[in-house]
Amino acid sequence: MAEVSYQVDDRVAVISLRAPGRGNSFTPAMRHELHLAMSQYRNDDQAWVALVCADGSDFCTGVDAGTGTGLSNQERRDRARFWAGGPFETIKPTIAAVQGTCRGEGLALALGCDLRLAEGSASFQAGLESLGSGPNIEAVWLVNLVGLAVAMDMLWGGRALDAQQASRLGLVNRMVTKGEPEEERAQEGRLAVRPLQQLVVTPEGTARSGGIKLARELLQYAPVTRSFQKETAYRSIGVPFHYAQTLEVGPNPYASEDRIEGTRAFVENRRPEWHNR
Amino acid sequence: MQQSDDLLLKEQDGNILVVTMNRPDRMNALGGGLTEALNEAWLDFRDDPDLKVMIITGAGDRAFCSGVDMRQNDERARELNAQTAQAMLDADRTRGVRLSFNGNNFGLWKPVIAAINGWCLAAGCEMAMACDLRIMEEHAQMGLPEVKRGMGAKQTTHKLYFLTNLNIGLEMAWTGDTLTAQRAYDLGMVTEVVAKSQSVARAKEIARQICRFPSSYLEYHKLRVFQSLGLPLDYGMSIEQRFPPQEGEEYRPGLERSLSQGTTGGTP
Repeated sequence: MAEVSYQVDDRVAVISLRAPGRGNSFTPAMRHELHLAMSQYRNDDQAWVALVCADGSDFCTGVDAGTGTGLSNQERRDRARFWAGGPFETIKPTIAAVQGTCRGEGLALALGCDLRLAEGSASFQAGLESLGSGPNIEAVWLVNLVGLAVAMDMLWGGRALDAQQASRLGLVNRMVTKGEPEEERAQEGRLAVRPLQQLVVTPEGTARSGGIKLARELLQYAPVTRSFQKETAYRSIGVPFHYAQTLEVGPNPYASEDRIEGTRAFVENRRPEWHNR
Repeated sequence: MQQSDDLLLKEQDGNILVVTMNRPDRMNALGGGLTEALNEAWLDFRDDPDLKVMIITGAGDRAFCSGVDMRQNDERARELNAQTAQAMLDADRTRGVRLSFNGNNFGLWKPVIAAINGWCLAAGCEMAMACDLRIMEEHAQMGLPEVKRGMGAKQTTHKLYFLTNLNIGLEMAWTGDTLTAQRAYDLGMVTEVVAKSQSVARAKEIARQICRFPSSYLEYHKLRVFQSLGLPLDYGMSIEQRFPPQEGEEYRPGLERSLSQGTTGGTP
């Protein structure tokens, strides 16, 4: 693939946008390649967590000016189909690592992932040109994450959120900063419980390096539990609460082999070894 | 094994019931009969017309509740020589229906307040999330570490989206890390943060205020909130038209009482 790459390294799938020359803006071809990469992740048993990131100084500036208008009907349909479900349609986690401009369809891509990391340079914008033509996911998901007032200000007023604001409003999980990461604790003893981090510190300080670090962190934990929790959380949205309470979807960790291992590792004060079953 | 009376301390103060999980040496973990004793306590509270508000807390200053008793679970797995946890589910199925306040709240529409006096983890956190108000002491932390232990937080995962936004909810679920009291407050997950060992006293103050209202009012509001949660907005609004509060037996006497108290009492 020319503009989107897919690489798996030790259970982390790194999906990169590789068109920095035009700010990684979407063309029908790039959208199609991204669609293929997401499908590959979905079906790849060797990949347990995916990182979506981008080359260059901007995550994605939106739709390429050259192709934004004059789409054929077929291209419009493909685009709508991609955004209607594309990034979501996996039971495994997806993390977006954002630097620079994240705008229009770029914002839609970040919103389509489960977790978001941002460098200090990140700027989140709806992109006014997407009024009337932008993917629904922007409107629907922004409201979920930042509330109606801020979402409408972004959609109508073109308000941009910097990394700090996005973090405060709950759009971004963690900020990535450059520095010496504190000494990793020895990989022994039971998995400790500590306060949820709001910063990721890496020597490079880039969104991508922070994303890989977070992905590795998640991989220490039980994969069956992750899948169950994603399936249940998303399927609970927009249904009556008392119905959500009775949902039985996704794999059941309480019937898994990993639960026996997780409990025993806790009691024996050692790291668990997960088998994803 | 301790007697269940010792496992769960109960103190009645007027219309308020304070229930204390009492296994401080095991961080008040749910085991040794504590779950069963709690199930009984919720039902007794629900069915006792003299009780209006319940406060739940943990003994000692270290833990509210640290979740299920991992040691007991591991012993059970060894006893059954279970290779997968399905074998444990199957074996325990014969013990009869397992009630759980965490999951379905038993149709309990009276107010329940969690006084979070320390570690509030896993099933303990789920219990706190199933309560209506949460008062948290400043040194306490709450979280769902199930992902570190291969379990699921099955009774709270569907609520992540309702309790905070899905972004933070999934991060909590997938890292198993905790919220400090301050962060929990910032995210709107607890009602108030108080100094160490002050949570029960503060919960009682709030409970006394709540107790000035008839039970039927209190239950009316809680029931309507849960009935309309997740429904299309206009449908949720229409529930009130179909079940107006004025039809409750206590409406008129309650209204007259509040009018006769004048402004000094504030609301009734």
